Amino acid sequence: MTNRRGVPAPHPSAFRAAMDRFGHRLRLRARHWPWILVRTILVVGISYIILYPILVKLSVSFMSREDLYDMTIRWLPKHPTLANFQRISTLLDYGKTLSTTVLLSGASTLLQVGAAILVAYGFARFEFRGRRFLFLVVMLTLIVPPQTYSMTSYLTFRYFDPFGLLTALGIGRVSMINTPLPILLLSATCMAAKNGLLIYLMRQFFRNMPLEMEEAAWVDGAGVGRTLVSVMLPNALPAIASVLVFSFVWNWNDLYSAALYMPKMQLLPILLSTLPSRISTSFGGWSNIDFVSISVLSNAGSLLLLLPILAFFLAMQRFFVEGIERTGLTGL
Amino acid sequence: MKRKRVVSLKQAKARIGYVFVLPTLIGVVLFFGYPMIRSLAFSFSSVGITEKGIALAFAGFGNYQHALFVDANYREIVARSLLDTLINVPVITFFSFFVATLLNQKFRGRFLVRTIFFLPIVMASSALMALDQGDLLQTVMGSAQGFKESAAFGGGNRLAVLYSLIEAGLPRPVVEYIVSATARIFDIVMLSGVQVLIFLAGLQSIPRSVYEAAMIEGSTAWDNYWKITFPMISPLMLTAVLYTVIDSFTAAGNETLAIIQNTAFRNQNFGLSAAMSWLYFLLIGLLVGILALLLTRWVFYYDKP
Repeated sequence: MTNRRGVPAPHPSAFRAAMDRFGHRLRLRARHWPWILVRTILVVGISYIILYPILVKLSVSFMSREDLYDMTIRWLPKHPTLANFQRISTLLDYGKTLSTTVLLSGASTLLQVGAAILVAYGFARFEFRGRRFLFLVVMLTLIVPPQTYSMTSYLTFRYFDPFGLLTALGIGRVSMINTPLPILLLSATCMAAKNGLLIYLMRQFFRNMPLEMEEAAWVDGAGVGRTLVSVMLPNALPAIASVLVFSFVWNWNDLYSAALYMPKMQLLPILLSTLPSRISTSFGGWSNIDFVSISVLSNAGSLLLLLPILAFFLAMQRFFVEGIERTGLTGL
Repeated sequence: MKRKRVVSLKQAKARIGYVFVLPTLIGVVLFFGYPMIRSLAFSFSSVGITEKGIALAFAGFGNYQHALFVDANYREIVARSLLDTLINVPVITFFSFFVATLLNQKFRGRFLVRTIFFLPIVMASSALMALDQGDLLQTVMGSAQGFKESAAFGGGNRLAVLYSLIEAGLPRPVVEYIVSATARIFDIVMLSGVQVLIFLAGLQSIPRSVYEAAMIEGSTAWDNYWKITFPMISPLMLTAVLYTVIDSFTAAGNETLAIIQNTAFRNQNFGLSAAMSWLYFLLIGLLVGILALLLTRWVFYYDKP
């Protein structure tokens, strides 16, 4: 028995079973409705708190001057305009600044994640003397506030000469300030902001993976590198995805190291942290501009910082949540 | 005749292990250990900048004494950071645990809601924070001139609420507490992104069979929550508490970090700044140590009875 499109019609009893299931769900829902109501209110309320700043920024930065002074307008501008964004993006040299920031954040992310994978694998699967101590130190780097050693760390890069090696080679001390080198070096050696957490997450994941697969690969003649690349990594993709997201977000928002090591580079967080004074300069001084315009332009500017990272997060979100659920974060 | 050196499998594996952790070994020595030791040396010296570079003169505990007993603000600001952390940690921990149980249930639009609840992780930008704080000032000033106060930030709204409550006859401290509590709700939501994630991961990893077995034995949902979910998640309580403590002490907006920063880079008193940050670091270490000790005794481990 088929219907018009050639799809077999369901057996009558299947329909009744479906109706039963539906009725059961309705009865369940009826029993739980106070909780569902409370849950909905909570979820909507908290979502509103989180989204409120973004919504305000969005609403304000599209407003033209007359809309701002119009007291009847709360959220939706009557005369939407892109003028604020245009002004800010010329002020920030947005195209170039954005690409520099993306490139630098991307490069440090790749270095950090690559290094974290290697180190975490080393910690998870190899016995060597001093392993516990070294791991403890890595965790310690998370507790120490960066301000404790930022001054001396700055000096290290200002007069870069590890163990007198460069002097011995006849190059002398090298200043790395205002170049991306410090942040790239720190990323490659797992010492950039919060890198210990990446190592911790990856190590937990590797530890929870069954040993049998690796042993099988060893028996089949694969070397250590081959085992890592062809056996461990494909299975670790969810964890790698979530570590990647964390790392990129933290790099993107890391104003502190950017301002310390490369204050003169054209990076979004640096330019934005001094945006109000930049705006006033572009108008020819504080006297030529009112506070409302500065506020509106600042909001447009912070959207320009926020939107790329939001887009990245939304694109990666599916892997992110799934990955973090599987990192084995739970087995402390 | 040269004898070939025999390397056992264990030794070989240990060597490979060193190769794998080499990046972090280099980093810990060059970019962590060395600067830390230098900063410790700074904290016991008076630091001068000459044309040749940095000149250190040994000063004993002078910087530490200055930080603790001479500086007008340091003690008070550190105490405030500590108090803030102690208030925030339990609130954030329970809030994020609660939110995680919410997100762990099945309901329509769960994926969207999860995405929204993780946005605070993305929006934690210190550049953005600096901009918004500047903006609040401007808004209050703007509203005095009759501009759209509610537009650029809730600051205007908050002021309006404050005034209307005082006019309604409520005592001022009560009103201030209500207003600061609502302000805290915003902060707490924004600070608990990572913790929600930690708890959610934990909740997902509790095997369903445990609940099913309990249901057959006749336990209720309430029993399940307190006798299964809570103990099973307790190791993650430890993780979340420690993360919150560290995050709150080292967050970009922290006042103590600001005073350390200013002492070094604005007042050029590097020795004092180093002493202040070492004291602060010792305080954090002490607190983290105590909390870890207390909580590990209470935590339930499935595989270690």
